Amino acid sequence: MTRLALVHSTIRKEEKLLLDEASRRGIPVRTIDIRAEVLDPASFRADFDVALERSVSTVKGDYAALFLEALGVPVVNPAAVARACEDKFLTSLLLARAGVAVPRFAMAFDVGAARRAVADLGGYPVVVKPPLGSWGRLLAKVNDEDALEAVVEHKDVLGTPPQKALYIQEFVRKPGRDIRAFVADGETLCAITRESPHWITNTARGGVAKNYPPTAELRDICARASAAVGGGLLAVDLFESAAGLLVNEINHTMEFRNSEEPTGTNIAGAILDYCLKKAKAA
Amino acid sequence: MTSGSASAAAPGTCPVCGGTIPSGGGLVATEIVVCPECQSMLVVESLRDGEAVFGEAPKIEEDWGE
Repeated sequence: MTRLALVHSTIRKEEKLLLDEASRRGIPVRTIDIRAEVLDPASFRADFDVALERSVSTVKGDYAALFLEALGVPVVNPAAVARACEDKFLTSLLLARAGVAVPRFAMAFDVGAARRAVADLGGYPVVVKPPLGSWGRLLAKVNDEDALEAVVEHKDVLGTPPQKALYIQEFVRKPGRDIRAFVADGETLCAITRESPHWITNTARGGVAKNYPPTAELRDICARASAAVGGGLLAVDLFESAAGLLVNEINHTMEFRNSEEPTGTNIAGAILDYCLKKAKAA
Repeated sequence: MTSGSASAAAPGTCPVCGGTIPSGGGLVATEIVVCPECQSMLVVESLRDGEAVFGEAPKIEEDWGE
């Protein structure tokens, strides 16, 4: 029987769904609260065959993945995949290099460069995002130069160093929704739309999840997006645009509490299946 | 692991308002719950004889997400 480690910090609904599913299947699980661990390769006892990294803290999750990989344990997702997905700028660069359609984007570090970036991207409105972050937090839709100056000044004075790296993205006029696809090594398992009258459609911000049967176009772009960031178990967020689907972001420790019911897919089960497959392949 | 609530609450009670929180079984340590009386975000600090001890949930940090 394959032994699984669930690396976590705060337990969310998703981790409970995973633990319940593992219990139903009789999969032995060691839960590891990464916040309380000592990552000492000389003393850590890796008595499991595969680790599922589900830390809500990106930084701690990264170190957990690096550590366990160094001990020879396969980790879902690998540290390199996490790195490629957690930084929006790096994700966009990798996708663009692979020829995957993305909204136009640029990075700038001061207000003058930000003004030039906006001009390069086609003008206002644009969206300014922190390169690291999630749940639609600290996004700013910037409609004019006055707002741009204010946002940049606030970040410059009040922000932490990562907040002072300005990821600027063209504002995509989407049809009141975006698409999230759940993807395992390039294969789309299921997808939802997230509908909201607000321009931020994250379910963490009130977007409503509805089933979206995957189309051939969705499957194709998700396969290519997955390959661009190194594969793994991913939630690919996309915009529908006049030019077709655009990949906005990719999440490597995806939340799915609102997606199982509308899609009729046991996502927790699919995640465990994927982990068992990785353990067997190791 | 908590944000460091000042006083330990009795098992099954909210450390903020003192209200009773139904455990209903199935709680796990580090799980986040909402107090039904004061709506405070709480974390399950430990489980004692099947009863949960709650603390104030940690604040969301910059690197939290999915």
